[in-house]
Amino acid sequence: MKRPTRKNLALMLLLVFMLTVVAGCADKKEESQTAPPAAGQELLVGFIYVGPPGDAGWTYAHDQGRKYLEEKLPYVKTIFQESVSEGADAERALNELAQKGCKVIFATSYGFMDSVIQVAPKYPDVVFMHCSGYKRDANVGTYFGRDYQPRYLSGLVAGKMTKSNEIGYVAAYPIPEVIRCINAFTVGVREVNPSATVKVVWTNTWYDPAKEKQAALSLIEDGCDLITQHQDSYAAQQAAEEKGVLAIGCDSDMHPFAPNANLTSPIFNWGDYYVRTVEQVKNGTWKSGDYWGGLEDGIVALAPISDKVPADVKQNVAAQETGLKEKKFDVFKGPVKDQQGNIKIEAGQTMSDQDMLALNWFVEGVVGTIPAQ
Amino acid sequence: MPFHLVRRQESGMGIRIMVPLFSVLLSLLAGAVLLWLYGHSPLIVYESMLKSAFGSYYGFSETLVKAIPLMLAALGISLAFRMKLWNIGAEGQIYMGAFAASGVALAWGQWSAWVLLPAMILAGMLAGALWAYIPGVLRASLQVNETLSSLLLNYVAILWVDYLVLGPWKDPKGLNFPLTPRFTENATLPTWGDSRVHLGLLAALLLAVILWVIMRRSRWGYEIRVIGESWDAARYAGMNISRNIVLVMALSGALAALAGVFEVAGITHRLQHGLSPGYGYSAIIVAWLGRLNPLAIVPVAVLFGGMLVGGYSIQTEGVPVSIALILQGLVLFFLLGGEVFLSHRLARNDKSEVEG
Amino acid sequence: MQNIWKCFPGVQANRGVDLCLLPGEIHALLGENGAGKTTLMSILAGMYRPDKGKIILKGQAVAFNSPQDAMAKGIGMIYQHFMLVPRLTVAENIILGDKRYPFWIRKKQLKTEVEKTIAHYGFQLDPDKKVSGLSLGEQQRVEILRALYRKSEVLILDEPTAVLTPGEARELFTILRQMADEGRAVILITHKLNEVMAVADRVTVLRKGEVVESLPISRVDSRSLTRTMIGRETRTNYRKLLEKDGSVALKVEALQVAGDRGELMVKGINLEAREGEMVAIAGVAGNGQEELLQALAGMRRATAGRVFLQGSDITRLTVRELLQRGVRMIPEDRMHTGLVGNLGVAENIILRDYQSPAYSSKTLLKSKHIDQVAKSLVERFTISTRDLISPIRLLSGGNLQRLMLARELLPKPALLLASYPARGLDVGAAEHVYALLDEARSQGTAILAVMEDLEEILQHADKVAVMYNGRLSPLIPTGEAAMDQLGAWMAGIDWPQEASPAVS
Repeated sequence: MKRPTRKNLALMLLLVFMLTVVAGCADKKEESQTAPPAAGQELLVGFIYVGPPGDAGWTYAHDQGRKYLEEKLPYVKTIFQESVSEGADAERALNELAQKGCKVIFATSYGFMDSVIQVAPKYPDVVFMHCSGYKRDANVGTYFGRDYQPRYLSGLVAGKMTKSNEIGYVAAYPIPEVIRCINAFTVGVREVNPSATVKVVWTNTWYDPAKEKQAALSLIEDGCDLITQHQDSYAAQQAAEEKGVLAIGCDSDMHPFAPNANLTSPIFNWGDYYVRTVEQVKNGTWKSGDYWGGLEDGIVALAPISDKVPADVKQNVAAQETGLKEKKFDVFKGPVKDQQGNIKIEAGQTMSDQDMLALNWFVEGVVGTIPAQ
Repeated sequence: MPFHLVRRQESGMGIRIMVPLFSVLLSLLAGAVLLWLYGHSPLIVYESMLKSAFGSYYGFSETLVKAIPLMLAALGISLAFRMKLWNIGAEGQIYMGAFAASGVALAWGQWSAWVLLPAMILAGMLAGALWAYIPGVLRASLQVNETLSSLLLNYVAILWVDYLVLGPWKDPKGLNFPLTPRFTENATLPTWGDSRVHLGLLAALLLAVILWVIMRRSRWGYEIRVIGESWDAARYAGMNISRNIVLVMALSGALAALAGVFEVAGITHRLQHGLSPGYGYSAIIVAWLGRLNPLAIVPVAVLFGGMLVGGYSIQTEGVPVSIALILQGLVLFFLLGGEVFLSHRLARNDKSEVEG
Repeated sequence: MQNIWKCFPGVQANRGVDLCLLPGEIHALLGENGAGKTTLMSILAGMYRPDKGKIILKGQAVAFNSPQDAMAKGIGMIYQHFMLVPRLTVAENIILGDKRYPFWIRKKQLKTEVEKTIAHYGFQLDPDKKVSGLSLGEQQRVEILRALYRKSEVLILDEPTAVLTPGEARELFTILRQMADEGRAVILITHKLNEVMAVADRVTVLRKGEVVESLPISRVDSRSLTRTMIGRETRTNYRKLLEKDGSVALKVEALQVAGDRGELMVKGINLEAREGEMVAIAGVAGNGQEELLQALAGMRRATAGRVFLQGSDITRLTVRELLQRGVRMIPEDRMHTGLVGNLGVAENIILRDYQSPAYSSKTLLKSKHIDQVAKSLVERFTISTRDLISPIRLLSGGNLQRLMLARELLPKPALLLASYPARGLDVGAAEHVYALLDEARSQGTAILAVMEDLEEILQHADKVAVMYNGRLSPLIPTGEAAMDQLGAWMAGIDWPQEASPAVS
């Protein structure tokens, strides 16, 4: 008789538990159904990240922007989905945020582009903002920062700090955005150290710490004494720290993760732009278009430079930064030669935005290839 | 230990339903503790999980979208597993199916959909069959362990697709991003309403029924079941084991490959890196939980799909994705751990039974 | 052991069994299959727990949670299937799982210790030899040694002679006697009456889970034991000899067959079997009998020689082609070869003929018709089963054997190959099997049976030959065969100089 009663007890407990769950669900349902219409003032803003906000790089920078947005605009509530892969899943994530009632959705990776274009027509009342892409629609805008500007500044540091004159560059995909940064960096390096070269290794992933670190280690093995990167994690920085060489980060200030190796990082400050965009949507003044801000807007910047860097180098960087901000010159100012030594930009000319967005060649001084298109 | 396990002679229907149910409840309880420790309300999180996976039209449609490839791959896997052929290569077969279908779609995109789609399906299934044929033949003729060979071929298939999308098949207008060009309209599967649920669902359901009939009612299914139980008995019955190994592996691969075909034709509309987030591996669990029964695999795949979708969506409640993954892991852990209670029961170590 | 009860779903294996063991005695536990012998002893050895009842050891009630518990209290059991690790040496196997030994073992010390025990019992064993290289008899001695090494006071042996030659069995009995003389209690589980009479001091007969008799050996004889064991008289001989010799059904010429590892297992055999004749092949398992039958059934390729069925060459035919010509077979391994344990009765009935138009069309199985056939066979062959679909692995050995016979005899066979047709069956079930074979024979089927028990052979077969080391002795009519000579041949002693062509 012992066992049956115990079984009954277990069954009863189970039943009670299930009832509680059901009851709990039922309660909540009523709340959540009544909540959105009541809070008419509230504006829901969604974010889709390609990596985790803790990557301390690209996604971290966007997440800082999201937090800044919530802080500055009290009527804004944000939700986000992290680690959304750049394929079929992006569509699901976009749909979900739109259905949750988001009025603005920021899709923060290049590979989300087609998914945004696909989903946006279904939600004409929602504003989709796609970062770093070039496809737009009535309710789809694009935005980006001129990250090649701080890249160029970091190149000025790197060129002076390398001793082996070989700099390693861990790069994600051979797309114009990344190529542009490699070129800008190399232009900066060669401006202060014409005999230095920049070696590029492709990883074909935005976020894969293990792969990024492996790539950095192989570059160090190859003789590079300074590592920089176009990746979302700080794994390459750590590789440099471990091997006792120098490093330059990207997207966020990566100094804390490699305090000895890291010299500086070209970074993004998305916060102000997110606040401006959401305010436009709220006021009804938003219009589809492309935004590409530079140093003067503060959307891109160079993180504080390490004390290891001599004062004269810092002064030169500051001077060039001012020059760029005041638009006294461009990063890509002729004459610029490609890897084969052909002049691509004549003396006195600069590169148009259009050319920059479709960039598919390396400047002189880059060691590496772009896969054929 | 005050308890020990005693083997059950038979496991009745009640046990087979109660044990998994109880496992899921336990995993939810364990998950609740975890969520609570992280400062989230378990009830709200679970409600959101449930609602986003099954509670709304869109959510459920997404659940089905995930369930289709799981279903197809699990059907293929169940067929091989029935014969105790451990085909771990469904992931690679999915990629090969996607590759071949994409090849057809990119080369003959202008064909009418009535010709193009069947051609894609045929090419995809053929590629998957060939991909599984390799470990099948190796097993049948040289006794090479198919678990390892099929698993290793996964990496080859995934890297092959990577090579294609990074190189020869890269979209010339894609500014070097690793994607093939988008398929033409003719190469895309019709979808249900405005959802992403595509024709693959009907195909998967139909195949589940067909497979069930084959296994239960057909002469060939009988052969597969006998071979799966004992090679000696099969030999004694005059069955051709080698031929069936190759045949079953190939068909298993073809079914898994169909998942890949439908993913590119129905969802991504192009070939790309990271096409399958491990469907081929999750499908092994689906097939197992479905007890290799084609009809049981259907609901299990839907539940599994719901778990994936629910897991993603609780991020909007502020639950980090890693916690969501832990919750999914817990469910599987408890479900598979509970399997032991299907064949065993717990008994108390009661000394008085012996002494009294 | 007092008032032991043990129940498995559907079976009351032990109902209130009392068993008393004295030190220094060899106690035979006799009973039909399913009488509850092994269950009772597994309880004593700590494998199972009784539902009710207690075990009293030297005046103290004990309870075992595991075989290790029982072992620690001095109770050791040697199962039919040895639990040895083939790749370890004799000495290593002996200390395996013994907690008295530290993680690191001093090999030398171990060896001398083991050698001492071996010498004490006069075993012929090399402690450094790998178990994989030992014969079955030697492996059994390793098991016994292991039990002795752990200071077992009670030693249980489950059907220990099943794998032994008569000679080896005699040696085993000497060892058992020696151990009993040293004050140990030895329990012998068996259903062979002659063994009981030869070696036991006392015998306990179990029937349907209950003790029916427990007497000193001096007060019983084989006939009375048989009666108590199965609860009725048995028929002793039901063989009906055919009036006339039939024509030659099977003819084997210089047949050679390779084993699983490519070594020659059948080394040039000549053999004949006539219609309506049962030819027995005696021998210790592993001398090529299995390979011979498999080759004749098409499950194994002959490497040389020829086989004729009713005059036509069938050497290279497949299983399926042979089935069509009426060559049927009852394999030794019921559960994994002859039947499929996880399928039901109906699906096992069609195992060999599933492709015949009676059972299936080109694609689908004809379930309705199959069920009808199965149902009628279940009735005709008195197979007790719950239904036609639940897994047959829960059926008893006798039922399984009848099921297999029902299938193999359904279309009248030209040749029936039978491997140990009555092995492991109790007297009643074995009787039934032989009756069925007899019936087939009287209808003209030639039967070639591999068997081990000489008494049974002499009782049931028409002719007998002994197989040893891949060769076959001359074929002798059972009426003229002497048990001693057959026994010697089985051990390879006095082997006839020339394996002459079989006499018919």
